[in-house]
Amino acid sequence: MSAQLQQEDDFKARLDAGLWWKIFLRALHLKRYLIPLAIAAVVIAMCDAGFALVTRWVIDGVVTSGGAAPFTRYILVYLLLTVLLCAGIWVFIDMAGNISNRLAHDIRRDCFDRLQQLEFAFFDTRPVGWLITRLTSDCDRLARIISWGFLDIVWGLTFLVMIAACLLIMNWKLGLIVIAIVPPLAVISKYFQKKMLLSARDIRKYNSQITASYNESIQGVRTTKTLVREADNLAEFKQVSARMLEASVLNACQNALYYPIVTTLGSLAAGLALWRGGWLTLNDGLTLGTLVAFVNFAGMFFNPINSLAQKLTEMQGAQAAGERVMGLLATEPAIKDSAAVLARLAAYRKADTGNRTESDLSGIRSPQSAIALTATPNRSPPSNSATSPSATKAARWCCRISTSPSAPAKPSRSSAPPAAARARSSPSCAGSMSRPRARS
Amino acid sequence: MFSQVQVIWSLMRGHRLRYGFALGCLVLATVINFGVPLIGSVTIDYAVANKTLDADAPFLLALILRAFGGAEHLRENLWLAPVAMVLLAGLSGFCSFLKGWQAALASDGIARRLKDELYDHLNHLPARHHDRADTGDLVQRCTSDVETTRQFLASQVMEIGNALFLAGAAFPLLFSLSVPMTLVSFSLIGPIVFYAYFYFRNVKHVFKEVDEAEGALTGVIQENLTGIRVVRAFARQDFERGKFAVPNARYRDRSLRMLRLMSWYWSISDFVALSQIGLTLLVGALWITQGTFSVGLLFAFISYLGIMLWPVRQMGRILTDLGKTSVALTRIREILAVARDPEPPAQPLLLAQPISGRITVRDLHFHHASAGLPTDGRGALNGITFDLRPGETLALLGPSGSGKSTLMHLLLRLYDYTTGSIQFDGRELSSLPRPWVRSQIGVVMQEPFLFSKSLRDNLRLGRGDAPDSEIEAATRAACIHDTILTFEHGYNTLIGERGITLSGGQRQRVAIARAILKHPPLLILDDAMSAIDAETETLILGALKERRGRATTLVIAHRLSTLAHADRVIVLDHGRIIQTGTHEELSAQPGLYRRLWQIQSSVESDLQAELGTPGKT
Repeated sequence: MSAQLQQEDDFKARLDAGLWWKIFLRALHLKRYLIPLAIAAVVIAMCDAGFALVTRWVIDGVVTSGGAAPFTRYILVYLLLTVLLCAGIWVFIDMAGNISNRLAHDIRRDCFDRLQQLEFAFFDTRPVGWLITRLTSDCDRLARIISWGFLDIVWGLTFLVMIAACLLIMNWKLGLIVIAIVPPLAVISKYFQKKMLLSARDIRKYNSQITASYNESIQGVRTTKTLVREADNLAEFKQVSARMLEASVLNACQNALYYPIVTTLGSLAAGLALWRGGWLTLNDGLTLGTLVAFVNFAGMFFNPINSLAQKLTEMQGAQAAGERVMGLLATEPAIKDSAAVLARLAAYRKADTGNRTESDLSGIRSPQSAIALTATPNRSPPSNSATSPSATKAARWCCRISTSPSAPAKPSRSSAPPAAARARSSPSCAGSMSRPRARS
Repeated sequence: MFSQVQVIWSLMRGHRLRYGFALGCLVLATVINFGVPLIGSVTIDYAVANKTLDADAPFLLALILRAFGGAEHLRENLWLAPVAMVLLAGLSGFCSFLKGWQAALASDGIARRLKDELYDHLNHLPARHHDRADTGDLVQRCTSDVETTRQFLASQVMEIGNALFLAGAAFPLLFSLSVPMTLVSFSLIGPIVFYAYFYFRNVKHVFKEVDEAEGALTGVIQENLTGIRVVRAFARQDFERGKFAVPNARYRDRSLRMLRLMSWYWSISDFVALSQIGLTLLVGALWITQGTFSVGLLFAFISYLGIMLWPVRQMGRILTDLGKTSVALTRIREILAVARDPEPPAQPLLLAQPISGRITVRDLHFHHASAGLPTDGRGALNGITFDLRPGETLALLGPSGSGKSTLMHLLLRLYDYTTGSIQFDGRELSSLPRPWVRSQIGVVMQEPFLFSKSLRDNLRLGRGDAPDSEIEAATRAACIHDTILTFEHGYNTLIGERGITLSGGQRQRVAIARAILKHPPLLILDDAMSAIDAETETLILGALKERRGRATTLVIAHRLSTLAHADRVIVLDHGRIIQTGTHEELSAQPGLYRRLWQIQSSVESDLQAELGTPGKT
């Protein structure tokens, strides 16, 4: 696929909040899913933090009270948290799934609508495969990020605040020591996010080229056969697939390097809590249950950071897709009917129902009429157009008669793609329950 | 399930060692990671809670405590614990990195191999297969289904290995710490695994439906975008929007159904997993009050549950993804299972020389298998017989469906004839390799296909080593050279996909130049000048005439002015030859040819008259 025809837009390296806000605005009409989703995220975050506090409560209870500890209460509180958390999980998957699928459906529909309005020149420089990718995987990806990303961000931020509050309330000095790990984590995350964004863009670009190559190869298969081009075409395709492989492996390596670093930082935080917390416990400054809770919280602290970092990375990785899709939606047809022509068309449509005279329709040809356009090909395009004047004229004429005023976007409830089952870590009393992540 | 594993295993050929190494790294990372909670446990129990090391204390705990120099030494140097924890986590992370790197090399390598195989296979499938195939569906199988497979191979294969290792190695470790607590801690693992398995079995068909809905949607998008000019020309946008809305909504609804199933799976699975942690916590707490358990051990067990429950709960997702991957692989294999065009054995000596252009067709019959036999028993061709001498120009004329293009496809071996004979220089066509046959023929189709490359690259498709001077000579013969020079980038002009930036006549002339450049012994023009004006057509035919003696030419056309230049004309109808002769002979005979000649001459005269009269356009 030629570079000139495969032109990608010029993308910014940083997260474009404005772009994502614009995309998020498209989900605002899905409030009946967004609000329960936000509530579920907050409930889950509170439950997640609550489990560590219950662990602390149980340990301190049995250490201090022995057999007199209120086991029935422990069971009831734990059961309540479990039921709340599971209900929250059901709600968030269902709501996020609805948002994701309905939003993708709507964006895809709007993109499709827009493509029906754009002039032929738009399609001259964009292969069908490239456009298919915009309407399929790009739409799915954006909707998935908006829905699951919204969930992760709300959950992550709430959980972070909850953990920080618990740590600071239990022992503010020790809490600050643990929280001190956050700045280096943020710096490292930022660095890797940028690297991963660039390699993810390469993957998208080559993936798009591969889709276009398949499309072209299937449509031109007879030409390929008659020209005996099978081997040559394969050699060209292999060059693209090799580049895709290289970009994919690079992206995977960056991921594989980033997450162990984050995990190690998590262990450092847990270790610091154990070291200082242990010392405090030995000096009666901390209960055993609080020490265990600190170690647990220190480990859990990095789950939401991970989650936020991952989501930001995904957003940065999908920014290219977002810009392409939003760019497509923002592309105004270069050939549009003037207000006068629109008025005439409206009149024509009315006349089509039988109430207008021919004089009212001057300048507008009926679809049934025919005009002949002739040109000698050898005397065609004077400059950079590769299309003969007659063809261009015909194309414009077709655009004129077929362009209708674009209707305002209707709020709709539709949606999109299958998001793979999204898993979030269950709250754990342990500090090291890591989540495998999907590659962006 | 076993067959699915077999399929995955066969897919991993050539990369199994790499997977083995990655799995080894994963196991090492897990083993090292297991040490972190033990350090926490030892520190809490022996350094902080002042518990004494009994003789019956777990071996591993005693070992770690000794490594720290004993409880007293650890208590005085508490910093040793975090340092050890960070070192172990770092080492585990390094192994994890190696695992990710190697697994990516393996999974992306397999995905690339699949993509290359599919691409190559699609180019070698019989033309009749492509007649029936849905391009959008094929593209979806080659891209989305391969990606589903890649994702499974990249992460889930490792997860399966990890889960199996945990099942095999974690139990002995935990048993060494506390047998009763191990039994308690794993009492609900079985139900989680069974639940995951039954879930997988029940939702498999839903994933297939989602995939099919996605394929149908891609197909509609692809069809619309490919034919966007036709859609616009006929103002069919509203119709297309309606046509698109159905699969778009179906895809959404199928996906929502799948997500609903997911929400039930994850919430129930989480409930069981949390119940397992709660059970361990409460039983552990009870035993602490009885003096048979310690806080440190409870911390260790809950930490291990945290490590282990994830892969166990992931089993549902893994099995689900295995189901999705299985569906995706089935769809990929359906393409790969279609037999390629069979090839006769190579005959190097026989095929060393190009053909002279002598073609003999005898009693040729053919019917399209996909269409079935017509009710009247007639096929596309019903007993065609003719000879073509080297250098001769033969024209074929006939109404649509008379068999002209079918004959061309048979000569190109895009289809194989059922009965009768076609011979190139006395050699039966069906015994000759298809690539060799096609290399002897230059063909220009009615709707020529140009690739999204530069004009120069498109022209060179027929002959990659053609020098620029020959390219120019061919484009001059096809009357396109001057037009190309008017483009801003001349021969380096990039043309859109399928040549859409060119007009129909320009595309045809580029395709004619491409065919001429090939210097084929046999040139076939299948209505190749239908979009070219008469003046240019005459110039091209003149140039082709100059080549007479070098190439045998078969011209299919509806415009009789084109056919008039041929040495001989064959008129076909319903797959039979109904007239043969020169233009002059056929014009004089009553029949289809004369009728068409009279009609076209009359139309031409009227048009000339109209164009010559001002104000009548």
